[in-house]
Amino acid sequence: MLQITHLTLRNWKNFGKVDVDLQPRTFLVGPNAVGKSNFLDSIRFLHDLASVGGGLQAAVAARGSVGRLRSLVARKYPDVVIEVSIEDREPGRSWRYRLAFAGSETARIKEEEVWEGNRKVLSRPDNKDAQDPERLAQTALEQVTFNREFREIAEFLASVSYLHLVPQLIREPDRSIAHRNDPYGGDFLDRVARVNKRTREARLRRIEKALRAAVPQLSELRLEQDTRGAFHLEGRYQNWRPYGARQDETVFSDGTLRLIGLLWAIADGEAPLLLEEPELSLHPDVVRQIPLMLTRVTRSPAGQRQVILSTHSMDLIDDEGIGLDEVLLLQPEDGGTSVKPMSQDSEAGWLLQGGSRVSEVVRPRTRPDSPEQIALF
Amino acid sequence: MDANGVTVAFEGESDRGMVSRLVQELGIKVGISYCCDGQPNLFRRLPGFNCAASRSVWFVFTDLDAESCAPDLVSRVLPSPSNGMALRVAVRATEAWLLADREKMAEWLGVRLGLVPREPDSLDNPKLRLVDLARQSRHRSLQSQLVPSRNSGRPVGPGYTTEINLFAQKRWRPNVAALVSPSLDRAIRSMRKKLEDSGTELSN
Repeated sequence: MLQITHLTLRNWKNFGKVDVDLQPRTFLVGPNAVGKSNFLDSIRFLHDLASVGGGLQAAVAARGSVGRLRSLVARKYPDVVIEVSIEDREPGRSWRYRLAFAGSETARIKEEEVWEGNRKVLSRPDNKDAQDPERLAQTALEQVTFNREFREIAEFLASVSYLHLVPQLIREPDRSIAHRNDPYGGDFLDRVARVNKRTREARLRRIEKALRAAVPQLSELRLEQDTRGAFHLEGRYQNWRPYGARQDETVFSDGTLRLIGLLWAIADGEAPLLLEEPELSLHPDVVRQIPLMLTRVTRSPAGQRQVILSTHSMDLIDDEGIGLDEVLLLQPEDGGTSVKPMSQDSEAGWLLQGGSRVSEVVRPRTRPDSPEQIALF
Repeated sequence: MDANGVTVAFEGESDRGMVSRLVQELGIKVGISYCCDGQPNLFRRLPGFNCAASRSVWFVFTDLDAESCAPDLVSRVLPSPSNGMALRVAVRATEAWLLADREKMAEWLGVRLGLVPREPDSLDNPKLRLVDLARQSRHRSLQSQLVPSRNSGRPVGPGYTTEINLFAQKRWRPNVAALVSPSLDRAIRSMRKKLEDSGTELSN
């Protein structure tokens, strides 16, 4: 199964320089507004480049303009660069994709390269670009006629998914902005409905079983269609009436909906999954199970599905099986936010050996300078 | 984090203001701070702190509480301290060090100077004493922050942590308090010596 094993960024949003390995499970930690979402967004940007109806200009426009996504620390070297290494960890096949672009409103490609192993299969600008500079407004990744040699990674990037469920949007999809592939869950029920019935029902049964641990009173989870054709998630609540009453998503709690969404997303697809604060609305003891669940559920005969998530939850990162290389620490610095695996912090290793938990080492490192000011508000 | 300040560890959030003011008194500032959520957690993590203190200076603060004597406590929980480690024990709790600046404490709480204990290190429970003093405060709003309501079941009031940290940072004078609290005086001397030994520059 393909995974993103390394990410390089230059001048992307609040990052000056990032050069970091990504693991099958990667946990992003850091203070508020340090750029955890922006880090995930660099991978979403590649997804937007490669997906149908996407492309470089659309991906930039969705983020405002080149000027808005270029880091404020960019000076001498103004290009925005995103580079990923993509590997199949088992058989050892590897790809590398590099994109450098500049511009203000619209983006102009400065460099686009693809390697398969050590072989360069694309290098732009090339002669054709020199003859027709307009070509530099589009990446080869987004063009089926050009990406034949590396379509595999174009498809891989297009299938990366991102989830940041907003329960209210599941309940009231009319409020959502996008009605297809809405990361905030506006089309969540439609997405569930699009999966074929057998797979869907099998998956809902699995989710129901897992859910029982957190929400024991909920059973018989299924998808129903109302007379207007809209889909609803229904379940039986044991505690409402002696024999239980069927209820739909409009009365499910935030935590229940988030957990259903999370479990669904994990079971849906094989490409990397980007998660934003999966701990929201969940009990700490449920949160503690998330990393274990991620490992178990994302493992298949084809290998491990990659999950990259941002979190503020110290409960989420405290499992003793979480490696220091899986925790990426984001810290504000003069040259932009730095991103380092905790395994590079030698003191962290000692503290863990000497009795501290991971969260106890991470927490002071991600603490704002003086949060107590908030109490003085 | 050496360049950015000294590493500190302490028992609870209400120690934070005192620790940062104390470090400031030495002319440096706090780098990473480990708030340990209680003494048992601090002791559990102490071997790791001690290991890290072989490479940089660490100031670790704990309360003597009901133990009989500080040196016994230190030799029990930290039999072989690293070069950079300064484990300091407040007798019997950090509130004693704060009470030791008697004038500022009286002024802050709005109580007569005579009510503030002359030997804070000899108090059995300095925190309780501080809250008791607050009950006699002329300042109603501060009193409501520091003193628990009858059914709260807690030793301190709802705004205790915020207010005690503000006092420590804005009003408390460690050098004056050290004249009244021998355990604070020893702590300051020992911390200063650690910094000198490690070659960290002092501003005064």
